[in-house]
Amino acid sequence: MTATFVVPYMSAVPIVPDIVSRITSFLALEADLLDEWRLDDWFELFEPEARYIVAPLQRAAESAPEQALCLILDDYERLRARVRHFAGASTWMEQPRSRTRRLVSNLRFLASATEEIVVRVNFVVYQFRNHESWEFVGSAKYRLVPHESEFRIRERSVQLDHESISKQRRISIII
Amino acid sequence: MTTRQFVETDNRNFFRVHRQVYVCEDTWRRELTRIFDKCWLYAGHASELEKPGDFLTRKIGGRPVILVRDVASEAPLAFLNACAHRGAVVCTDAKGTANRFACPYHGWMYDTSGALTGVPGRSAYGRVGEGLPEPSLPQIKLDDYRGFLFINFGEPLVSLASYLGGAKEYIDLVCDQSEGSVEVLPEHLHHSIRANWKLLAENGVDAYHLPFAHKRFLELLDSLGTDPNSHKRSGVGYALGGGHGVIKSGPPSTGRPIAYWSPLFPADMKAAIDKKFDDLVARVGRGRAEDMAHTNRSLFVFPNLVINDILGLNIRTFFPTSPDEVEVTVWGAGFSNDTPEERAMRVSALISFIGPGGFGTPDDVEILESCQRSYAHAGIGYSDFSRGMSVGTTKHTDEEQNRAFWREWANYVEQP
Repeated sequence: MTATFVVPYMSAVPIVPDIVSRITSFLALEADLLDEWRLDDWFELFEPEARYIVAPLQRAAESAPEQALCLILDDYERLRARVRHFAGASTWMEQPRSRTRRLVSNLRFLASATEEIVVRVNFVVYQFRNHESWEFVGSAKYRLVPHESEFRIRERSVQLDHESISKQRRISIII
Repeated sequence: MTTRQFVETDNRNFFRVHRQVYVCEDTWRRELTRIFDKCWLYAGHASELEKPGDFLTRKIGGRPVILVRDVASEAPLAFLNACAHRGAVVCTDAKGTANRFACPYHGWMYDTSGALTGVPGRSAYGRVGEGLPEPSLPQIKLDDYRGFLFINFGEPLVSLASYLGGAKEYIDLVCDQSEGSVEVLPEHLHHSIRANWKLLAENGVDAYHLPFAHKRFLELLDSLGTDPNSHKRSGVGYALGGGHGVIKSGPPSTGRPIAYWSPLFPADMKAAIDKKFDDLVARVGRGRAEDMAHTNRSLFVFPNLVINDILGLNIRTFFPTSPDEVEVTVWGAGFSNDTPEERAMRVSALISFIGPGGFGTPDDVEILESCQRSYAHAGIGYSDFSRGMSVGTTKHTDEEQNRAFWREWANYVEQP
């Protein structure tokens, strides 16, 4: 899951100067859509064939994600169902709905080509629920495809830093 | 009417448990010493210790434990991960291969049989063995049933095989499904629930809650093309003795990777899965093949193990860190002869429901935590386990398997 090397974006990768701010804006927009629970709009950001992955916590996996016990490994259809369930009346894990606030930072370019850009960010998601709060901390790798003036997500792969989902007990939101 | 301290029943119409049992600190301490220090506890699977010297460290029954395949005897052994000298942890890696374990505190060294092989400045102890017993890594009793490794922190009164009793045949139903051997998949799921551990013990063999608590999971399947009528199952719930229990039901509308295709699996796997059923019939006969492939089985082994042979094979164990918190570990399992496609199918199906990010477990977490909140500090009222009792049925949606748990629990905890 973890990239084997990081390309320093200022030197190694030939990129147009404004791509950094375009991707930063895109990722901030994505975070807003999630915090505002505009999940249908968020789902629109994904390409068909896209995947949403939350990798195993143990970080020992050398195998492909589908060969080990991931926390989440959604193909496009399962992600659609996940999003649709948040609007449903029997999604007990989010009855009532949590509040969240996301901080996204430390943008790095892992690979840059005209047809696909791979970036990694660090993130914190604060979640407030049942008069408790906890946070999810980790990094997220995005495979992005240019689309009109923005991007579409081909893969969104999350690696959490937690050793156990003990403080949070469940992943009831999109992280 | 039988009245015990917390468990009450007239043995005919009602069976109830005082909610004090989910919150009482004193009860929790009794459980630790009377149950978790006395029963056989699931520790790991032989497939996790493939070759001599392979070890893993994990918390079992609340204590740090090393499981290692001894280099000399090639047998799996269990030790407290604690130096005989002062108790410091001698192995900090989660897993690996080793010939020896060295304590970071004073440098004492042990081999994989637990024997002390090195003590810096040994001469300061004079003649070891005279007045000073040769120390070794504290060994914990370990026994194996068909690759499932259990440990016992106390002096076990019975062998593992006797302890498992009626649960054995359901473990056999798992192990005999394939000509390959059961293999635990890489990585595991680890999370907590702010709820008493017994709520999870009940939940593990509770088919009654499925269409309500997990309605959205069934809807997910329907959206993939499952016939909604196929979720209407029939089945049985049995007490297996010793507090163990099982629920078994069919048709397994959520699919069985061993030989019952569902829309949760890739469409291009259907032919291969259908063929597996024919192979299974040829190998074990139709009755047993149907038992294996056409039923969902959740086996509860007292006090804290659930082997779910459902949409994916998984092994779940849990331990109470306090009266109102339980730590849960889930391993996925498959068979040594699975193809990469079959393994991917198992992983995908399993985590569709199970684990902190699945479409099932997080709803259970939310609901069980809400139960715990209602018990608060003193537990008002009773929880009911009477389903099926007065009408004399033992359906999978009844609660005889839960009553069996509570009877055994009372034997351990409520006796003077």
